Amino acid sequence: MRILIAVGLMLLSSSLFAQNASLPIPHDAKSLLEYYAVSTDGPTQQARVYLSAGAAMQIDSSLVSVAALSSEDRRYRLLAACFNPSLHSEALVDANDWLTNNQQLADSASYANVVEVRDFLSEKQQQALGISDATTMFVISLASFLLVFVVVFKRYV
Amino acid sequence: MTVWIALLGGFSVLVIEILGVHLLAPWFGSSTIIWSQQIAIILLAMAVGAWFGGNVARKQANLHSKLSKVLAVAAAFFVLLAYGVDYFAAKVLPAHLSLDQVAGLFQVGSFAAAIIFFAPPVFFLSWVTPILVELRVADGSSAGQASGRLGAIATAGSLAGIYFSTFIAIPILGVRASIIAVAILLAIASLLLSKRLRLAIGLPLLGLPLLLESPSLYANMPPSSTLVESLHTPYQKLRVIEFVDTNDGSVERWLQMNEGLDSYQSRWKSTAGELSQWPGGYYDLFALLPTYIEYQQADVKPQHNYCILGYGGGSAVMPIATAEQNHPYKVVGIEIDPVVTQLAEKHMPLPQELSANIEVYSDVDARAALRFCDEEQDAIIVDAYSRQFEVPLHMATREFFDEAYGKLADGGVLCFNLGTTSTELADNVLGYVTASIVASFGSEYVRLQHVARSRNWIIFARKAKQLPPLSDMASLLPSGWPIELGASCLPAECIEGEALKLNPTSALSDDKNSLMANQFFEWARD
Repeated sequence: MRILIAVGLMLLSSSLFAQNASLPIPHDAKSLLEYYAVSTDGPTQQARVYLSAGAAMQIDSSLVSVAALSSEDRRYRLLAACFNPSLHSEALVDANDWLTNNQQLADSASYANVVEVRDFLSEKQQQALGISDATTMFVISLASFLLVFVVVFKRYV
Repeated sequence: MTVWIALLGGFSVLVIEILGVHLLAPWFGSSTIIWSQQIAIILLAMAVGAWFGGNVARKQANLHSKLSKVLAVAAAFFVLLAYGVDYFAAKVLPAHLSLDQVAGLFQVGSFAAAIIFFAPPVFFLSWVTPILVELRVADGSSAGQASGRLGAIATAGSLAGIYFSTFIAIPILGVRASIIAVAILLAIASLLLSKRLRLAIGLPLLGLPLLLESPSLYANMPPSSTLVESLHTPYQKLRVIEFVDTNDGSVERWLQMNEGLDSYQSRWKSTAGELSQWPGGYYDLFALLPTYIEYQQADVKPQHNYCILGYGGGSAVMPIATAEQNHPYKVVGIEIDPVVTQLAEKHMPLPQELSANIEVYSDVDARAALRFCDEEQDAIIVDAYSRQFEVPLHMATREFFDEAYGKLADGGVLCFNLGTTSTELADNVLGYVTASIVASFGSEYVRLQHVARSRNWIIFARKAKQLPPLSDMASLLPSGWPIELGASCLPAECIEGEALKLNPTSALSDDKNSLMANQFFEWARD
């Protein structure tokens, strides 16, 4: 849950949400559903709106008709992937690719936002490594204990 | 003397078995897999210990001395485990993990901890009965009579150990104090046997670790949270944690069970001293229920009756109360652990004016309680978790959903909260639970709604009436509800219609139920 809150904060702090809105920005459940019903916005703007509501699966649905995804579309997909832990490792690769392919945007808020996404996903990857290390440590502790126990037992009992 | 020692041996083994899981729970949870593992390790240690104990009894000359040493060693291991588990787990487990990351790690960690800390004392305690049998035989008893009687006495001790652990150790003495108390009893028995009673003056030293604060209080705390209160109940370990937003002064509290992490059993939010109507997460979707209940009904019902199975701290009530506005409603909550409701009343109180609408019953299993609920319920909310990610098996079967169907009024709605790592229907937990609900309600009356920014799905199923089409939701919902609630009503966030025509053989039953294994492997895999 806190991961998802972190993703939400990342999105809000990016200050990108209000850009290019042609319809009023939905602010509650009703206005979001009304927006969905009448929106003639392009897929990119729709993805932006759905991301603000945490509707990660709806983003892919909006972008599915787009023949060639723009860098902004890809950024939204990256943000949506942050909500789904099973997509994190794939999204980290995509985030690095995005940053490599969009060097010209280095001073933009979008670029800074993807850096945040990349850092978030890197932290997740580090945590995964930490879990792997901890698993190994448990196994080593167990093996060491059994060895010591058997040696002491044979020696004194 | 031999009778008392046999009794103490059996007693001590069962105390470890039950309290051991409570020591593991704050770090690794207490899933059914962990319970099974704990029992298996204890039985293995007992078997191996009895084997070696038999050999020692046959070979050794001075068995009184040997027995005294065995009890002393077991006492030492008891003292070690009272704090060793916590320090071991605190040292090895990484911080700030989420529930979906850790199932596999917790399986390995709990196994290692159980072998290292619980197996040795049980191994040595299992020497006691063979040695006592040999002593009885040496005194002239027959081997059969001695082993039969001592076995019976040890079993009676185990029986006492079960009830002591559940009704005295956990709720009154505390887990660690109880383990230390058993260590002191074992040490006294050892001193009596060796006739070194002068050493009894050192027994209070065994209690010294109790002066240390247990690291388990802060096990698996989410980042930026602080501990409000923590305690063990016979059912689980509970704690209330708090997040304070210094920007707006809002306070958010979570009631967590067992391993905690980023998961909660109840959630409560207050801004400037005023309780939020929207606790957030999946709870907010319960506000859809009045709309679903009344859709295409000929007459508005004079009162809506809600039954919440897995009431927790009552987080579901605020969204329902908000959605009902001035319409009369009644909530009957079933919460198996009474301490949950007590903790929530203390740290996560609901507004006083709502209390007239709520009745909560504790110490009763939710499925059993459903049978005694009144007929004609307008909504049955199933938010029951026996462990952190385990839906109770008997509350996810075709038979249970049939019972719920029978308790609903026409147009009444079942609302089932399911935490899962799946985002689509397949041969997975989401698929099996959905197939079971569909088998009872019919696919045309069921809808799955994904909870925004979450790993939860809410499954709505209506009795003999269709749910409002998603395209009508914009006109049915009032203004001002959280935008995330709207997100859960977007078509790509829902599963319904043709997609729910599932293989009926996937439905879970009381007789054949693969849910537990599937839940474990699903979380462990991800």
